Amino acid sequence: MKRSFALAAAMAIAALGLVYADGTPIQGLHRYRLDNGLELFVLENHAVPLTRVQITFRCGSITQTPETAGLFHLYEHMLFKGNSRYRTETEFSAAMTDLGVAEWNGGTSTEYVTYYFTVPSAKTEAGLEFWSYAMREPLFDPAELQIEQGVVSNEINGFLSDPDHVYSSAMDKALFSKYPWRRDIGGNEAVVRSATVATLRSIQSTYYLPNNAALFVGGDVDPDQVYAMARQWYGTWKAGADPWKTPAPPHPTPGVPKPVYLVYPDESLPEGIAYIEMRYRGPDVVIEPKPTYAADVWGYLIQKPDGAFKTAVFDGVPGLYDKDYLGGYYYTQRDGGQVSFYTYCFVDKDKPLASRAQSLFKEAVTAQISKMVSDQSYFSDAEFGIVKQKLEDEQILNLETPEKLIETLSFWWSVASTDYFFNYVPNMKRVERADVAAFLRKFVLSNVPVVAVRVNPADFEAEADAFAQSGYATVTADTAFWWKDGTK
Amino acid sequence: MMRSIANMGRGALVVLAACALAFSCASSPAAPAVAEPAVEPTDATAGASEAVWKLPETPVSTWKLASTPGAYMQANLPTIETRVLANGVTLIVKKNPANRIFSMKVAFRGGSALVSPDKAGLEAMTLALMARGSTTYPYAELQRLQYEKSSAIGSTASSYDWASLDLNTIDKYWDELFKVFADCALNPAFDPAQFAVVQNDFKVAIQKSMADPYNYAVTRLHDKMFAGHPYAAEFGGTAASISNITLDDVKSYYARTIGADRMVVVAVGNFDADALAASLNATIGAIPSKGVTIPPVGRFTPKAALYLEKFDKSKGVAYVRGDFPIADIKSPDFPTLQLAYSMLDELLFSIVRTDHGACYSVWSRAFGFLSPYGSLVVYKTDKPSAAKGWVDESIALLASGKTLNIKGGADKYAPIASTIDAYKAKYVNAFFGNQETNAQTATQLATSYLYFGDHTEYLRFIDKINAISAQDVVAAVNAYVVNAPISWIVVADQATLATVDKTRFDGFTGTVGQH
Repeated sequence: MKRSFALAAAMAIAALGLVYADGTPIQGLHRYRLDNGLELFVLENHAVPLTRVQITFRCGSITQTPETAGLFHLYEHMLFKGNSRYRTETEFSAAMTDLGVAEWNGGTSTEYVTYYFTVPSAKTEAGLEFWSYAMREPLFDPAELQIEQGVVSNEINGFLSDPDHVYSSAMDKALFSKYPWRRDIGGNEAVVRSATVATLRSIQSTYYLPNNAALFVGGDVDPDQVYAMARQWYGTWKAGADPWKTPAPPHPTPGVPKPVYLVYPDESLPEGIAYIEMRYRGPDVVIEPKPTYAADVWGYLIQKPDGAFKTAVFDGVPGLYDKDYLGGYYYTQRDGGQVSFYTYCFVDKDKPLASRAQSLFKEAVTAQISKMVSDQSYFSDAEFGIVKQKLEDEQILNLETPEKLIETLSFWWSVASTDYFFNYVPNMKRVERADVAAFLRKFVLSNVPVVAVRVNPADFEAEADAFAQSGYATVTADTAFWWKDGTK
Repeated sequence: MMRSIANMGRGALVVLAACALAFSCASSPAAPAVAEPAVEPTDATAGASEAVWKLPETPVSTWKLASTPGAYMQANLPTIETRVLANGVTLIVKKNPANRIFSMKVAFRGGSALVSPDKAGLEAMTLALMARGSTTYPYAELQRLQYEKSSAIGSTASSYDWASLDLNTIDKYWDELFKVFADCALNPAFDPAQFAVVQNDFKVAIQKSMADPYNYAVTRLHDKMFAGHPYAAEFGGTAASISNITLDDVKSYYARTIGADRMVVVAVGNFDADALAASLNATIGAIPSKGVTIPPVGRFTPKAALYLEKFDKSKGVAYVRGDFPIADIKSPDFPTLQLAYSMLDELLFSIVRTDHGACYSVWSRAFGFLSPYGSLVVYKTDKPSAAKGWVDESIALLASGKTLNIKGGADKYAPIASTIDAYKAKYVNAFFGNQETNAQTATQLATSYLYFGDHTEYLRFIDKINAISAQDVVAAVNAYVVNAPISWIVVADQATLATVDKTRFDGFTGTVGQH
């Protein structure tokens, strides 16, 4: 990427040496890299006198083993429990109040752990200083750890009554059966309960490194001043070995050797309405970036409300709920990309759900995908043109607030790379029909799905025999989680 | 490409995407969007203590606004203009050239007071159906435009007192989308097929909400608390009430109540106010008054009580919430309580979660509806009874004039006077954070207009907060929170409910003045 020289800023902080910000294709966004490898992104937006400070690490459930499943989430909690500067959680919280922090939190996901808050823009440097202690010098007091193990265990147990969580866990367990812990952010309560300070220190020394982190600052700020502040508070943070030098083996593709059928009696659905999903392993973005662009263009194309895909599947499968709730998408991940097709439908005893999902929905979708591959006119030039327009519109929408762009950028930095994100729109615009066809051929037509039905328990009872005879396994809170199997 | 659990459709159904659930550390979950019908509790000890407590008849806060508006108000006033449309409706325009988003909100006062509990959700359904196509632009055309132009026409019903029809688009698409939006408001199609879909959307959303133990707790608590009050008509409806509503009900409600006499139009973006007013006069400005009388919304009757509700799937984890009446939104005590709750939140977190590890999160809130109420919440706890005691301990500290010592040192707590400025700054920043998008700013303007009769009232917020003293905070907490008649609910599985010590909920257990 071409480097551009920010003359005015360089003059302003000449004492620190010349400052170079990498140009970015996004208006107001500046990119820097500290000597220790920490990437810094600064977004100027002067709408309100606030600054969002966010720091993100490339780790999460992706870096878990059966023995550490849940510890990255526990670590995230422990970062709020005290550090060399603010020794207790109370001091930590009090300091944030003193800074005028209005909103703060941390989050653990499959492929990143992130921490953020919003401070008055006049306190941007104090905010950067504040997080530096937490990131670099957490205390991990054993007594605090014991308390937090209870808090996190409560959270894990709460998931057992969350239908979406139970369903997601069951799908991940089926589709990623070789390494399900790499998709399970909450993890295993027993692992969380047995965590020690040593295990947390191991995570720190392996993943909480400047060369495995990115700092995002957005709002009413001057980019080069922020760069100087970042050097001040993060410049001496010592880099470590690249934790990604030897990546773990990818999840197998296909995710399952033969189709797997699941049914989840789900109280979150009313009687009479069910949900069907067909999910495949998709490309992992770092290993196979090219099909991911095609996948995303395809995702936009099939969203078209009156497009051929929605219309044909809706008309082809009896008893579907509404075209708006029928679709497909590709979910970008570094380690666990997925392609999904979904629909809501009405329950009808004359049209058993087991066969509607297993045969009719699957066949209708597959037939359309085959047509997309073989028929060059399936998507018109105008439809491709609309996708390109939508990509530009999305950038305008993302720029409304610093938070929106920072969250988007943080995701892409973690899951792929910033260059992937910056080149995203140009690469998307280069996607042609042949690229879409190649993606679909490999990741749908030659792939094997997990097919799942979510249905109200009363409706399930009425069709339980049909589900059993069709080879569906029943999902419950006891069967959905890999760590409850007793096999790991 | 997907980054999060996304609402793929236009309505209330959420498609559970493959996207991994992100776990946050300690955020407060959002308030439930919808509600559920009344179900008899498994156990209740209603009337556990008699309500001898009374709301103050006059404000206990003594703060006064300065005669000169603060810098924030002075800076923003010139960006806001008003016009009166041909039908007498006020148009409020806030110019924001900082981004390319155009947001419009056509808001209607009235809400729950206009519908009976057996038809609860009627206004929300009517507005949702208005966003499902007009006689000129059928829903399919609307959907095509929204997809191709990255825009959204929808409705918001998230308050007991008002609801709105909304348009969010990008500057370059405004003319095209506004035409469609206005036609939806003026000539809704009320297509029977779309009515069926909207009705099902509401049912699915309600069922989903009720499968969440916290949402279930809130709904069941409000069933009890608002019985006989206009708020008994839950704004999102219940499974039963939504099933009761017919397309004819919707058409009739539109004909009777969607009128100029309860409307205000708010626009935020890089608008030209005169040009916009001209566009509106030719369209929405033609909507006549309907002679709607909005019944007054009085106070709900407070009731000290404990309700225990069984939720089998929540094994070993309880959800605790207590609601109670607070100061009127126009009272000086309301902003005082908002600031006080900000202080209380940190005490709650420090004592209930940090010191005792008793929950995933804990918080307090002041809801500024026409019949306002406060809330205390302990979210995901395995110690519901003890947690209630620690909540009271936190309240007692604040009522005794103490907050967390945010400056550090040997003492964990410090006098409010020494910390209040930091809490004010924090609260003001939260205020800024709630108006970063044009749609959020439109909501602030509409809320100010509908509750205060003055769209600029929200601009005084910072001045109000800055005028509050430590004495005001102590007085408000003692008057409105300590010994308040709180309706508590605990939701968990039967085994956990069996461990609840009901006496802990039998009134305030903190000791004020001993800290």
